Amino acid sequence: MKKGLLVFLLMLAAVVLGACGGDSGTSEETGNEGDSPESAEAEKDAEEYVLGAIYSKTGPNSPLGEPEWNTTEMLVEQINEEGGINGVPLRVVLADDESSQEKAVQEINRLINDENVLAVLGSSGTTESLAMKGVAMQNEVPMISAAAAAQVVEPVEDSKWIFKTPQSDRLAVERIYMYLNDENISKVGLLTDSNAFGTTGLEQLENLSGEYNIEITAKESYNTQDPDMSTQLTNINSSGAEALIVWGTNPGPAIIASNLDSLGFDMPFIGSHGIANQKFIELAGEGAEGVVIPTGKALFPDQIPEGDTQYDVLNTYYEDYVATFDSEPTNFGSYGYDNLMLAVEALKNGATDRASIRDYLENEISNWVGTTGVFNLSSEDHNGLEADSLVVATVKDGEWVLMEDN
Amino acid sequence: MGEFLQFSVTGLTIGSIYAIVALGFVTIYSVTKVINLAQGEFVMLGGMIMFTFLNIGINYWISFLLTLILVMIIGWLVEWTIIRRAKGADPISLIILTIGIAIFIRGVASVVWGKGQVRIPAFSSNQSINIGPASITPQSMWVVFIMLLVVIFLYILIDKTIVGKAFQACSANPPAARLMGISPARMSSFSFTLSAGLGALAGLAVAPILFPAYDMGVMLGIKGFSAAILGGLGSAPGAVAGGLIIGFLESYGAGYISSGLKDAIAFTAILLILLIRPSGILGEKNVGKGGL
Repeated sequence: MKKGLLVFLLMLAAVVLGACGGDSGTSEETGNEGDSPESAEAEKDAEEYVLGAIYSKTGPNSPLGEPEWNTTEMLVEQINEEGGINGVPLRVVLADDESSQEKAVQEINRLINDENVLAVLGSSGTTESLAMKGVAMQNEVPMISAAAAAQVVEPVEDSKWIFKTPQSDRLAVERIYMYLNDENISKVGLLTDSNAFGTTGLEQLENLSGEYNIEITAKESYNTQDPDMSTQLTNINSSGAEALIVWGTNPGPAIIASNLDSLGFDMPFIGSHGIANQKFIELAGEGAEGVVIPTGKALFPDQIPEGDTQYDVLNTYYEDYVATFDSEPTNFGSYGYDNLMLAVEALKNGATDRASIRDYLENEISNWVGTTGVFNLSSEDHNGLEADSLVVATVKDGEWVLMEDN
Repeated sequence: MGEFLQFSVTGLTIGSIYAIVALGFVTIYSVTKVINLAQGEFVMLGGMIMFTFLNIGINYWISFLLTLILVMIIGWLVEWTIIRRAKGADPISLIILTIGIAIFIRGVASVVWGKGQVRIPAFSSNQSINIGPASITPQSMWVVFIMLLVVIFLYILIDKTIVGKAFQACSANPPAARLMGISPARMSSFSFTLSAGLGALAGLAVAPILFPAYDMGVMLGIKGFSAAILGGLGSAPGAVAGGLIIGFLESYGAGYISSGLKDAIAFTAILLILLIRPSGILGEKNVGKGGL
């Protein structure tokens, strides 16, 4: 018993010591920021511009983070080969948050205080970005996130230093409802994942249904790894729904598509941008045929009509990426592109300190053509995209294709 | 009526998936009194190794056999390298060891196969079969069929063979079994190999339905474990009954009450049943008799 107590005390002591160590560590770092005349001078001399980028290269978010990371590396190399930004070389300090909030916070502190970066790009996921948001706000460093959820930049009053490039859920829902209006479908059944992605989607689907005269006849949910959703589909079918909207990420929607196929119900399957990948088609097989989703244009740049304002930007980027990495950039790569290029745009136009980069982004970015869409940032909108930056895609012969008439 | 039939068919599909996983828990428990929380990982390995073999172009049924053998070897290795070394530890410590094994297998799997899901073709055609107004896929019927086969196999093995008697002896009283010339260590090794094989078989059967990924063992492990507890740990027919009851509860709960609450409904019912019959549906009140 005594021995146990002793061990416990020792452990306690170790924990306390550890915590102290941590404390002194951070205070040292903040000290660094206070007395950084050398780095400030370096900025004046403008030997190089330093940006920080945090993406989830590993961990569950790696399918998002990897193309973002690759894109950033590729673009920095391109920019420097072409002589940098107004003759000044660009350096981006890349950091991997391993899809964890704690690591994301650690890294953003390191980038801001030790690397003294002008702006932070990232992270890939919503939770990581929200964790980083506090640090960026506190240190007054501009941050451009690649996360989907609108909360990252809303409310705008509390997000003075935060911007983001991916379309918010709201835009994806609007795009689906616009499509349904075109198709004269007004009654839908919802089947949403019970995770964060599905529940925020459900919220938006409910909130916007009135605006587009859509009647929700059934609301069902499932867990991402449930083996069979036939029960929910049967209920939705008998509720009189004309179409089925599924909000989730793999593998759930693929299982639902197979179930729907085997039940033989005559409801079109409308998915979310969460399944805008080849994996979904691979899993769902024949069940995927005819599935409709809203997606960014980077899913298939070659199918975007040549007259599109984004055509050149998208295709140059797409071809470069495929040539360099021998894989598809996906929509996530396009967020990485826009994040970096927005910051570069600010630097190019003389905004070379933290405050002026923020001001430039908020005030001067209008009709800026990126790979995700055409951005119009303002003090009311730190995302700056409209629903028309999304297109409607469908599966035909095992490929995502652009819906022509939309 | 049509709805009721479809809910029942879906419940049967889900329930037999849980039941087939539960049978693996029962096999190890009935011999060693250890609850192997890595059982879900054996199921996952069944699906993922099959995917690899199919990918390098080996014939479907040869891959099937190879997968079974390989996972059984892994099960044997787990027992030989880890469980056997902790000889003399009480069951609780061994159960905690199996949690570690599960995390280890999951980690290795995520490195070997990545995080994405994979697709595995069904045993036979994918064309669904209509039973009146309801429909069921042939693969679901395969799962039910294999599950029944496993129960019969376990019944014959345990009740009609000498090996089965040895199983029961080890469970009831290891020192006495040793005095009778039965090696509990060998029986423990055999039970791990057998249940890894059953896990792999379950994985092979459910893979075409579920799109396996490195982490599928977590969900299946929890549901299979619940089914095994509900049926009364140590009883193979009980595990099947438990699995089917959970499957039906989930399906009817989702169909008639709320799909968001289906897990809550199923687990509330399990708790109620266990409050009334703490030893499970087919469990024996007098624990320690052993046998399946």
